Amino acid sequence: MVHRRTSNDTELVFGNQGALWGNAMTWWDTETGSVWSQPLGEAILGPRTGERLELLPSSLGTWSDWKAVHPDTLALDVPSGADGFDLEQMAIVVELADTSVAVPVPLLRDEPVANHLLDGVPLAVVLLPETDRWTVFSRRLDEEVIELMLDGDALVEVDPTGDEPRRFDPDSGLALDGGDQSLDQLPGFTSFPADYVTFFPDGAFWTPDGIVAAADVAE
Amino acid sequence: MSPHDDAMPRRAAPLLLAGGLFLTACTDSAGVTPTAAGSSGDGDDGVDEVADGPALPPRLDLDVPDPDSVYDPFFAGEELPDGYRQTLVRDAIAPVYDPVFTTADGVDWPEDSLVIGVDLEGEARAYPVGFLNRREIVNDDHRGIPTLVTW
Repeated sequence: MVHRRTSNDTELVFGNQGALWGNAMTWWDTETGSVWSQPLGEAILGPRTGERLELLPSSLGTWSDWKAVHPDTLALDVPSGADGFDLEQMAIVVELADTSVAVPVPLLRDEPVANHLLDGVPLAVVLLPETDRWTVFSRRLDEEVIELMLDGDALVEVDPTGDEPRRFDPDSGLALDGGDQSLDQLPGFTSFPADYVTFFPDGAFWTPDGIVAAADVAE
Repeated sequence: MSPHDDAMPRRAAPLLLAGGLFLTACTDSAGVTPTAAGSSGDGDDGVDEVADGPALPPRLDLDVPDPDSVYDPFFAGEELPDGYRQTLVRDAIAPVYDPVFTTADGVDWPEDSLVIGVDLEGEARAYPVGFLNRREIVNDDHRGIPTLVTW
């Protein structure tokens, strides 16, 4: 979303409040500390409560489509998928309730899908080799649990129960080939393995050969 | 709106309060390379020119106070609306306060990667979603229009 960051003729600067409201992000303005709701563009706490930012036109689409329409476009001078860190040095962490697992990115270079069962929750961490985009999916479809592998441009069910393996878009989890069941995404984040060990001493690392306790790595 | 909001464990909040920032999203501001501004400018109007390309805007560098020095309705004990959950400290996911731009040829984003596109005052700007996933907020000035790009 893109808003004009002025209210009552005052230019405001916004930070990240670090809170969710209605499961959506919130901002704080650096002048008054008021808390703003992103989807509303409206202050919900603090002195500016009730004030609203103007929503500006914007679009969401592919880089190639945007360039085709706007050949002179400027580009925010950043990498697309990372923010200056070497992804190879990091792990993708999934935390659910009080348990977590970290999947070191280099291991996903050999095997781009890490199938794991985290405290009873079947999940798959997927790293797409060509774009370096990663996603975490639930492997549960209704009452069924499936295992996933990457096959070309699709996530594919391993050992299918039906005649044909089900196939999914590896970015969105949406069913391909007309299927009616899609994969749900789960939250994840990247961390340096050493930091993960420090802050999640009860955590564990995924490897293709099994789980390694973070505490063992720390030693 | 970002899936990464939910990604941060609640129990990490006290750790973050103690200064234990550890997410990639928690780096210092920008994460942007200073190649666009100041590399080829004429120094007078602060606007860079690229041969046969669009003019690059001057580098924005907004003055931002220490988050802890500014009133916070949550810590002040204001009555919170239903559904409000404080999961991190302010700016644990560091916003961008000093965006820098280059030309389309100056980035190597995958052609099929997603961008937020903004076209104002005759100038188009693209913000890659892959980056916004990690930083979530960009404060910008789009040809005189103060803008806020969020994901």
